[in-house]
Amino acid sequence: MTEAATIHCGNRLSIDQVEGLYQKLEAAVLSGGDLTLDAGDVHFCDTAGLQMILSLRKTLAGTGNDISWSAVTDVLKDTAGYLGIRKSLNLPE
Amino acid sequence: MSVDLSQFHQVFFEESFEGLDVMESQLLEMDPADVDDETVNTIFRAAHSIKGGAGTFGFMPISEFTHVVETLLDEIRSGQRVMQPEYVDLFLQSVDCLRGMLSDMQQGNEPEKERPAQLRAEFETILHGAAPVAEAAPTEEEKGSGWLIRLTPYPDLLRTGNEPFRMFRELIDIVGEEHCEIEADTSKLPEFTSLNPEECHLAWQIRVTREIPLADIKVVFEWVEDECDLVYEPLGDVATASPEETAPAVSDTSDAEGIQVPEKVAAAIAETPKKSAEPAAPAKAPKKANAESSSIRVSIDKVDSLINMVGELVITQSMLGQLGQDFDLSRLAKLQEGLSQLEQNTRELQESVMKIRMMPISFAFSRFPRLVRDLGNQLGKKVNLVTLGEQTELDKTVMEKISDPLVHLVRNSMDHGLETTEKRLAAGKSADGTITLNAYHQGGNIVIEVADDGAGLNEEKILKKAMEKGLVPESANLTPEEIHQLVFLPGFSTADAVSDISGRGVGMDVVRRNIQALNGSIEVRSSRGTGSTFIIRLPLTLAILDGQLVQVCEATYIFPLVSIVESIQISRRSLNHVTGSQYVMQLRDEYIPIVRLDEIFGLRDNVQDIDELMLVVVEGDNEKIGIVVDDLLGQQQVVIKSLEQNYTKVSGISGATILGDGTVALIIDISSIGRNITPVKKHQGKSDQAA
Repeated sequence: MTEAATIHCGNRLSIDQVEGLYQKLEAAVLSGGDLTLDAGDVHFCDTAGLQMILSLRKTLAGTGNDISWSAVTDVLKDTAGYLGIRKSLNLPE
Repeated sequence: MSVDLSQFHQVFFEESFEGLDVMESQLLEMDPADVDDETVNTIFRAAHSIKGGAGTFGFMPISEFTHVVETLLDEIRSGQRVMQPEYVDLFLQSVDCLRGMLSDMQQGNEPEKERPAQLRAEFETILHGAAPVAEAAPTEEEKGSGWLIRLTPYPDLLRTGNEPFRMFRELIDIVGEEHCEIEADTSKLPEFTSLNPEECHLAWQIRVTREIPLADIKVVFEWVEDECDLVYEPLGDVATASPEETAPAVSDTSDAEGIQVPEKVAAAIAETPKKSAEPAAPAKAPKKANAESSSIRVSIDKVDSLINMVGELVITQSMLGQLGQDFDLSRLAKLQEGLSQLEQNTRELQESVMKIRMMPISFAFSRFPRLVRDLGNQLGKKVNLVTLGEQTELDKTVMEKISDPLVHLVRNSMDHGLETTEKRLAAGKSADGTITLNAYHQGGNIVIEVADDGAGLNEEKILKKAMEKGLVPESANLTPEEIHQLVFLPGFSTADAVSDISGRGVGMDVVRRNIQALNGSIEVRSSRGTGSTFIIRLPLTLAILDGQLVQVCEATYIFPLVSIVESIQISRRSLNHVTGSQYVMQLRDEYIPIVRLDEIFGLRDNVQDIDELMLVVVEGDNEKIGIVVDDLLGQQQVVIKSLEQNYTKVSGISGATILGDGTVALIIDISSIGRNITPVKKHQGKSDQAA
């Protein structure tokens, strides 16, 4: 079993950063397998950032894979909560 | 794509300060007993913009504070609450508070926490207390028993800076987290490989499960109405049902991957900060607004004019260039014509560039309605403020530096100039005093007048105080005009009691010094019983100076024209030797100390006979001095260059300029030269006169 690749989300998971992160995630998706997201430094996130992760999870589900989180900040959890997608993102409690 | 949002911070701060100015001016014009809907809407929109911008850029303390301000405003504009005078005061204090917070954040500092918390508590008390309700209460239909909101953003919503999570957070603040259920619809979300991450592919339905007027909800989404499909439906009986029970009826929220689960927001946002319930503390003095900003807004007309000028300059340069390539004397007339054209182009270009820095003085005057209102309340005086010539333009830097002296003059006029209502009525005047601010252009300068219709300066009292303090000799016989000027002497005050408004004995001399630092002057005209007028004269810009060129030995110096009283041929008979090389000169009925630039700057080995030289009588710091020069040259406008930035600070010199022949000429600092004459020398002149 291959070890899940870990992607660091940076400190802003937001529309001004999605382009760069999208390219990193796209490369990881094309490599196949599960993905681990490290969002321990995220101090700001928004709809664009979380929507991208949601789409990532949807695509991985199609190949029997999933994402997991190695670290998540409260800011990310709160924002996902406001948007009603906390569970959809498989965020830890 | 990665956007550095910090590049927009400065614009946000500038627009927010402008928004606060709008809020303040509208609040000051507002009559709480007869509130105009448009006025409240204008104030609300300004607050809403500040909140939205602060949220976008992550300035959460500002966003959160503005939210409570906006909430109260919204209740007023929607008719749930009527405006009260105390609300106006609270809003004005909030404007001050926000200015301070914005200034702090603009400078990269943590904003103050205590004052915003105090004001927030006051807002919370009002918002959660019994509201003075407007007569027309919302109907049952308007209030509703709950609402279902369907929000389907258009793809570009996120690109326009609108952020759904902020809207939802605001909604939760309004309705309470236990009454708000938010479900996301991810059915339109594309596969990752075909995702455009900057477009919005999500939709939401939000259930508000409590009675609340629809207007309260609509305000949250009013800025995105044109950027999404938005539907509001009354919940009715389904309001109390769980989202799981109602989900099939209102949305398609499930998908094949099974990742969509309706969520209750309440559990997810347990960390939402609780509202402060601390009692309100006494108001502190408002923080000073951002005094000097680093950018300027320029009308497109001025920029177009500048571009036209540059175009003309390029044409002239091209014509001269062609002329120079194949020049002979037969084309001399053409060359002179071209040079004349170049001179005209350069002058027009200079004027156009200077106009870019010019701003209407209304920017400086705009702070006074608030100041007069607050100070009038503090002093128990009814004061009308009249502003005239608000469109008079002034250089931005001069404007920023003149604001504080103007504030001091207005405070002084209100405190000392205007009488109490009882005294005014007893003197046959109207109960309300009037402060008039007037600005106009005169002879290449701007004149700003601060006038009051108060009691006028009390000459006997001023002279007595000045004598007590040793500022004038007991034997002095001064005209009323000379007595009036004594108020500008350091340490002078006739105030019977020191207040926090004025009367500490510092101020008017500082006002004068600040104005002189701008190459300006101040005088006062007063008439007993009818009032006083302080008249400030300032150059239109600090970048260009009207100068008198003088020659001393081989060097050329420049005197600011505004400082020159007169120029005369020195007569040895009118000179009195005081001590060493120090002379005073009798000029009509006064003695003035004489200084020699050649001595000060060590320009001559052998001192030339003073009888052959010229004397320029100048006034600085309200003292006349005579400066000896070899010859007077022409007068011209010079562009001031900083000596400190390009070389080093030199005592007696305020700057430098480059003359037409390419040589550097130094600009004399009149005040500095005057300060180098010891008081002993000055007084000896007066003693001689007395003797």
